[in-house]
Amino acid sequence: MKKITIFFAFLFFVSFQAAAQLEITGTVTNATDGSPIPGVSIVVKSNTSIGTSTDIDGNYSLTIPESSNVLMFSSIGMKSKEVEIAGRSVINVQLEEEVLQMDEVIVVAYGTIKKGSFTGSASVVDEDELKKITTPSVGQALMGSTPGVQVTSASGQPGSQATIRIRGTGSLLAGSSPLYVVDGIPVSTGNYSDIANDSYATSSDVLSTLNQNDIESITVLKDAAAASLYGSAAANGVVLITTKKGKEGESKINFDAKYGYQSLGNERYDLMSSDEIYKIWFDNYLQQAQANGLANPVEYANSQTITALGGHNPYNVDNPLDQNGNIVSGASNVINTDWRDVVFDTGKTQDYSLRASGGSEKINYYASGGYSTYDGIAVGSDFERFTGKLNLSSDMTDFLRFGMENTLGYTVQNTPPGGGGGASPYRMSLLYNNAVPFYVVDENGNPVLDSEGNKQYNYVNPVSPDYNPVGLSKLNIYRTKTYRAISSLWMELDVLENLKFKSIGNVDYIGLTDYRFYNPYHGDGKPVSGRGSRWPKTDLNWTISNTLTYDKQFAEAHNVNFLLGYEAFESNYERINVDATGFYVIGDILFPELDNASTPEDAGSYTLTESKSSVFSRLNYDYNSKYYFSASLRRDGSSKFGSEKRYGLFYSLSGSWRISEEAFMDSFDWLSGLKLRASYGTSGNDNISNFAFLGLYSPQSYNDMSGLIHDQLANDKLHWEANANLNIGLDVTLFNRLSFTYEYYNRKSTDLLYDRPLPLSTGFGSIITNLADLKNYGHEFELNYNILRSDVVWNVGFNLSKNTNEILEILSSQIDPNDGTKRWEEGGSIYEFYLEEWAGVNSSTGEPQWYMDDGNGNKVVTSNYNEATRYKQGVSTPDFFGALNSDLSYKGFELSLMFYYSIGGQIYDDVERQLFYNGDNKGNNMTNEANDYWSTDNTDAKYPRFDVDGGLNSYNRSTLFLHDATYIKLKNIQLAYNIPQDFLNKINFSSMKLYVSAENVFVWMKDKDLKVFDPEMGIGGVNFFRSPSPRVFSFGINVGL
Amino acid sequence: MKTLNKLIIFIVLVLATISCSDDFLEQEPTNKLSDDVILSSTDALEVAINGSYRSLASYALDGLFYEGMADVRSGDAVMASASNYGWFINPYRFNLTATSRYSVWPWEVAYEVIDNANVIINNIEQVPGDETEKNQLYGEALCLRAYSYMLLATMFADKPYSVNPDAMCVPLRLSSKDVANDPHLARASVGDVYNQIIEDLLEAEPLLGFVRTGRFSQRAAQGLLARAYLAMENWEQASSWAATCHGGQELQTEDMTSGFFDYNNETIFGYDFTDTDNNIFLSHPSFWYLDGPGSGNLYGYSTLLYTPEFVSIFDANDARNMFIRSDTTLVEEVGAIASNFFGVAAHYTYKFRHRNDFLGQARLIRMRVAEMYLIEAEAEAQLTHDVNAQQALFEVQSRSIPGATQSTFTGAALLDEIYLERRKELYGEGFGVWDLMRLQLPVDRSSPVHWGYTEDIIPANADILSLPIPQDEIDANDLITEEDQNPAYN
Repeated sequence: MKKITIFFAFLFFVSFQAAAQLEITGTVTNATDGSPIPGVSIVVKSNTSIGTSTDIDGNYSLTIPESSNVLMFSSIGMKSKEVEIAGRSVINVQLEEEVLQMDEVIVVAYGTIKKGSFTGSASVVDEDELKKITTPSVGQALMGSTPGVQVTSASGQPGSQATIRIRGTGSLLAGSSPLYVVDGIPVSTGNYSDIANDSYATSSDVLSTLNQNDIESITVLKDAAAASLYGSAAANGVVLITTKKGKEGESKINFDAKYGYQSLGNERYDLMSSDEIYKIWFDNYLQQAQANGLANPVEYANSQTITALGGHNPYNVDNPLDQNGNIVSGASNVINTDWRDVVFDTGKTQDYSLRASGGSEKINYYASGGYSTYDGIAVGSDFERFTGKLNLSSDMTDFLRFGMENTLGYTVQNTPPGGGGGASPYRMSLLYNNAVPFYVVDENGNPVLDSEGNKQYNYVNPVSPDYNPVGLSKLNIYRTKTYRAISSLWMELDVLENLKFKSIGNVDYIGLTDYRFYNPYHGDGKPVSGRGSRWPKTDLNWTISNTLTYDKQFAEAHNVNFLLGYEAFESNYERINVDATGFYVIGDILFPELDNASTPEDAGSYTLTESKSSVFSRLNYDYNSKYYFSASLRRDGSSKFGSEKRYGLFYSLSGSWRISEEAFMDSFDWLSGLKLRASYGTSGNDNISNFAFLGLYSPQSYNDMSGLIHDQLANDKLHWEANANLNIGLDVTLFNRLSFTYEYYNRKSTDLLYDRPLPLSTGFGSIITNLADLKNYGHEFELNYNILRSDVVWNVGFNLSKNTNEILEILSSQIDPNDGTKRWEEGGSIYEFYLEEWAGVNSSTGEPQWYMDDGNGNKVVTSNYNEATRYKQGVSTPDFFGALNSDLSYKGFELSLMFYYSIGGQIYDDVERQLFYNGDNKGNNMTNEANDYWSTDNTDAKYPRFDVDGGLNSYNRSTLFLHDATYIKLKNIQLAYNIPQDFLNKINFSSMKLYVSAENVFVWMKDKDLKVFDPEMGIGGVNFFRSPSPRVFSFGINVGL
Repeated sequence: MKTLNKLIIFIVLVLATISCSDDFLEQEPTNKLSDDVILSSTDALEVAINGSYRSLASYALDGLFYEGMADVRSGDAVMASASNYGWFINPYRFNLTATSRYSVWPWEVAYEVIDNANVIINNIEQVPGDETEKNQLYGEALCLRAYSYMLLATMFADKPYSVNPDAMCVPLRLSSKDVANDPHLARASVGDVYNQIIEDLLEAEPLLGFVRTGRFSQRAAQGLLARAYLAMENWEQASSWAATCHGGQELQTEDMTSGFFDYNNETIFGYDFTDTDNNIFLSHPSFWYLDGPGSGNLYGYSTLLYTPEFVSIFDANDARNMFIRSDTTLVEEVGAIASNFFGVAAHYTYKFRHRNDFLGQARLIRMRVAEMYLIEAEAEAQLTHDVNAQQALFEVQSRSIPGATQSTFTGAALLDEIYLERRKELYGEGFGVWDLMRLQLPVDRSSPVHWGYTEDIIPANADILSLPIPQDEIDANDLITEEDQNPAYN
C-alpha cells in the first residue's frame, strides 16, 4: 500500500513528509588507510527513498524518520555496510575495499557458486553492460563484453539474430550456437520465421522476445568444467540468463525510458551520379561505333547508353552528349536519384520499462512491463515488442520453498528481404543506377501525376523488373509476429539439514504467425494477381528437472557439494503453410487476407517431435578454500539418433589452487589474489535435424497428385558430435585494484557431422556422416584496472581473444556449402578463403588477368577466367579481437565508452563485385573507381578495358574484391548524470539518472579499398546486400522510487 | 509431523521423476516416409513413381534446361543479356564450367530420377501387389531410367553415338543398393548407355497398359525407341518404331497451335503442369513468350528470342511462323549492330503460351506425332526409301504450309530438307543443338544479333558442344578423374 502511495506521488510529483524527524551526521572513511570517501550513498533501510551521499571530505548529514533502525552505506569499489542507528546522532563508518570478484556469486549450471571457488571458465555480464546497446537482441549486447565470445551480426534488421561463437566454431554442418538457459531451463533460440530467414539474409530471433531490462546478469560458460553438465547440448558453450528477482526489504519501483534515432552510419561506396554513369557508357559505345564505322555514332552511342541504363534518359533532350562526350547546349540532367537516400532513412527507437520488486519475510516478487519499438534504417523494416514478467517466490515453511518465473513477450517484426533477392531494398539501393527515376517522370524530370494528382512510383528499372523499394514497401507485407511464454514452477525442499531437493517444471511456448503478401499490382505478386502466404507455427517445449543437492562442511576444512539430477525434455513443433493467389484488384486498395484470394495454391503441415532424457551428477570439493576439485558426469538419451547410438556419456574434471591463500604468500601484501585453474572434459553437439539417421522419401506432388522422391540415405551409425575441452587459467589481483585473467584453451571437436560427398551419379550429393575433426585453440586475456577511486572513479577494462581454427581431419577437401568462397581441407581453417587470384590488367590488351597453375606448380597469368586457379587467400576470422572499456565517474556524472577492435582477417565484398563490372551487368550502378579502366591512353589502369558487350568476366569472383578486415569501432559512448540524492529526497525519489548515448559512432578500417557500410558482418566474412548496424543516438532516463 | 510431511512430498516428487519410459525417445517423421514404408506396397511405389516425374519435369532438367540449352546453343536463339537474372547466359555464350548450374543440376536431377527408378526396378519382385499394377510400375520405372539416360547421353557424352559409339558417356548405374558404401563408377561408353536404354525400353514397352497424361505410356515407349534408334543410326528400327508410334495418325490442322502448350490428339508425352503445380518463372512460356518487362504485363522473363535469320527460313504463311519482332527501331535507323538489351533486334515466338494467362500455367509437350513422321522420314531417307521419306515429310509440311507440294528431292538434298523441317517443326522443343551434334552440323552464330561469343561458326563435332561433367562428380568419384573430363573443359 505504501508503495502505491509512493507511486502516485511519483505520478503527480506530490511530495510528502514523514512526521517525527531525526538528524544524523558523520564521516565515512576507508578502513585500509583512513582516507575520507566521497560519494558514498547512504539510505535508510526501511525506506530507501530517504538518503544522501557524502561530500568530498566524506562527511554527510541526513534527516530521517524516528522510526528508522538501520542505515545502508555503499560506494563503488567498497563493500556495502549496514549500520544500526541505535539512538546515535553521530555515526562514523569505515568501509572496506572490495576484494575484486572473489566473493562474487555467479550463476553456473544447476546452481550458483562463489567466483573464488569456481574451477571453470565463465564470464559474467551484468545488466549495466546490457543496457548500453540499443537493440532488442540480447546476443548483440554481448559484443566486446567478454573475451572468447565473438558476436557478429549479418543484419542490422531490428530483432534479427546475432551469430555468437564461444571459443570458435566447433562444427562444420551442425549448429554452432551456444545453448541458452533462462533461470535454469534450456530454452529455444534462433530463427523460426519463414519470412526473415537465411535465404533472404535476415532472421528473426525468438530470443528477442526477452526484455533486457528484466535481465539481472548473463553468465557465459566457456569450458568443460562450466558447461559439461549440460551434456549433449553444451559443445558450443552455454549462455545462462538470470532474470531479476525480488529481494527482501528492498521494495522498489523503477521506470526506464529511452528514446533514440538510428540511421545509416556511412555511405562508403562512391556511387556514380547519372551524369557519370551516362558518360562511361557513352564514351565506350561511341568508341565501339567509331571502330565499327557506323554512320551516326553519336546517336548510336546515346541511344545504346539509354538502353543500357534501363531505358531511362537522365537528360531532357534526346541526344544529350556530343561527339566529344560533352553535354550539348540546352541539355540538362533532370534525373539523378540517390537510391541509398530513397531506401535508408532515420528510424526512431523507443524503449520503456516499468518494474516493481520487493519482498517480505515470506514472499518476494518482481513484476515488470515493457514496450519497445525500433524502426529499422531501411524502408519497411521495423520491430515492436511488448513484454511482461512476474517472478514470485515464497518460503512456505522453513523447509519448503516454491516459486514461479514467468516471462511473456509479443513481438511484431517487419523484415524486407535482404540478400540478392529481387525484392531486397538493400540490393535496389546499391544496384539501381541514378538515371532510374524514383517517380514516373516526363522528359523534363517532372513527376507525372495520376488522375488524383499523386506522384506515381516508377517501377521500370533494369535490375529487378517491376520493383520500386518504397512503392513495394507500402504494398507488400513481410511480417512475423511472435508470441512467447516461458513459465517455470519450482519447489525446493530441505529433506535433511544438508540435503535439498529441487524440482522445476518448465513450459516454453513459442507461437509465430508469419505473413507475407505480394501485392497484385507490382513485383512478385503481379503475375498471379497477388499472392498471400501464411506460416502459422507453434513450438511447445517442456522440461522437468529434478535435482538433489548435498552440501556439507566437515572438520571446518573440507567442503563437499554433491549434485544428482534427472531431466526430461520434449519439444513439439508444428508448422502449417498456406498460400493463395488471385486477390482483388480494386483501385490500389489492399485486401491481403487469404479470404480475399480466389485460388488456393498450396497447403502443407508437419510436426517435429524431439525428446531427450538425462541423468547427471556433479561433485565439488574444496579444502580450506585453497584447493578445489570438481567432477561432473552426464548421460543423455536423444530421439535424434537411431536406437544403436541413442545414448551418450559426458564428463568433466577440474581443479584450482588459490595460491594467494597459502601461508607462504602472506608476505606478499600487494598480491591480493592468485589462482590457478585447470579443467578437462567432454560435451556433445546434437544441433542437427531430427531424422538425419533415417533413409527418407520426401513429398513432391506432380499432376496434382501426391508424389515422393528418395532424398536421404540412411545412416544408422549417426551419433553426436563430441567435444573435448582443455582449459588452463590464471587469475591475479594486485593491490586490490588491478586484476587480470589469462586463459588458454584447446577445444577439440571430433566425429563432426559432415556431408560426405557422394558422386552425384548415386542420386545423392552426399550422406551425412560423423567424419571430420577440428580444433579451436587460443588465448584469452582480460584486464580490469581501477585507476582512480577517490572522488573520481575510473575503471578501465581491456580484453583480447585469439582463436585459431584448424581442420584436423576431413575425408576429402570440399568447397564450403555456405557461400562457396572457402575450402575445407586438413590443416586449414573452415574460414579460409579459396578464391581465384586477381593478377591485374594486361597493360597491352586491357584484359583482366588471373593467376593459374601451369601444371608444374608455377603461377602464370591468364585472361580466361575458366582457367584461373583457386588459391588459399587467408581467413575471414580476425587474428585477435576484443574491446577496451572505460568507466569514469565524478560526482554523479558517469562517462563510459567502449572501443571494439578486430585485427586481421579478410572480407570478401560481393557488393563491390556487383558494382564493378566493365560492361557485363548492364543497368547496374557502378562506383567511380570503375572510371580507372584500361584504354590506349590509360594503360596502367587499375581495371580492365570497358567492354559494352561484356564477356571479359572481370567482375567474376576473385581476390580483386578481397580486403583486409581490420577495424576499430567506437561501439558506444554514454554520458550520464545521477541527480543528487539531496534533491531526490525532497521529491521522494530514490534514484534518477539521465543519459545520452551514441553507438557505432565511428569506425576506422585499415583497408582503404574496403567500402562496406559496416565491417561487422557474418562470421564467414562475405559482404552482401544487407542492413548494416545502424548508428544510434539516444537519450534516456532511469527513475527509481 | 514435519518429518512426515517432508517425507511424503519427497516421495511424491521422486516418483514423478522416475515414471518415464523408454518409448519416450522413439519419434517418427511426420512429413517424410522411411525406406521400408516405400517398399511395403505397390501403393507406395505408385506415389514414388509419380514423384519421379516431378523431378524429371523440374526446370533443372527436362522442364526447362534441356530445351532452353538446345535452342540457345543452336545459333537459332539469342538470350537478352539482362532482366532474367542471368538465366541461360552462360550456356548461350558457351561459357560453361564444371561447376556451372547448367552442368551440375541436370546431372544431379537425372540421377535422382535414376535412383528412384532403380529402387523400383531392383525391388519390384518382393513387393506384394497385383501383377498388372506391378507390371505398369516396373514398365514406367524402366522408361524413367531409359529416358533419363537419353537426356544425360545427349548432353554429356563426349561425342554423340553417331560420331563415335565408343566415346565416353556417363556412369551407368543400374542398382540403388548400397550406393553409400560403393559409390564409384566410371563413365560408360555411349554405346553401352544406348544398349541399356534400348534394353530397358524394349522390356518396358509391352508391360505398359494404362494411359495417363503426364506419364510414360506404351506409345511413349515406342516413341522413345524411335528416338533412341535414330540417335544410334539404326535406321530400320527407328523407322519401324516411329511408324508404330504414329500409327498413321493424321496430323490435325485445326487447333494445331494449342498442341504446343496443352494436350491434344497429337500429344504422345508431356508434363502435366497444372495450375498449382508448375515451374512458374522457370517455365517455358516465361522465357519464350512475349509480354515481358516494360510491356506493363509481367508474365515471365521473355528473354529467349529467335534470330531474324531463323525466322526467315519460314514461309510467311507457314502456320508455324509464330514470331513477333521485338521492338527495335535501332537497327533500322542507325544501321548498327544490335543491342544486347531490352530492344534486342530479334523475334519472340508465341508458340509456347501460358494457359489462362497465368504465369507458368502450360503443359510442357515433349513428344508429338509430328516428330515421329520426321523420324520416319529421316530414317527412310537414310535407307534410300525416298518415296516413303518424302511422304512422311509431306505429312508434316502439308499441315503447316498452305499449298505445299511433296518433295521430289532424294539423297543429301532430301535429308537436308528433312533436317530443315525438323528445325522448323521442333524449335523450342528440345532438339536444336542436340540435333546439330547428332547430325554433325556446325553451329552458326553469324547473325548480328548474337553477342558474347567470338566465333561466328562453331564447327561440327566441336568439343565445346558437350556439357562439362560436374566437378562434384569428378571430386567424389574415384573412377572419374580430371583426365576423364570432356576435352573442352580440362
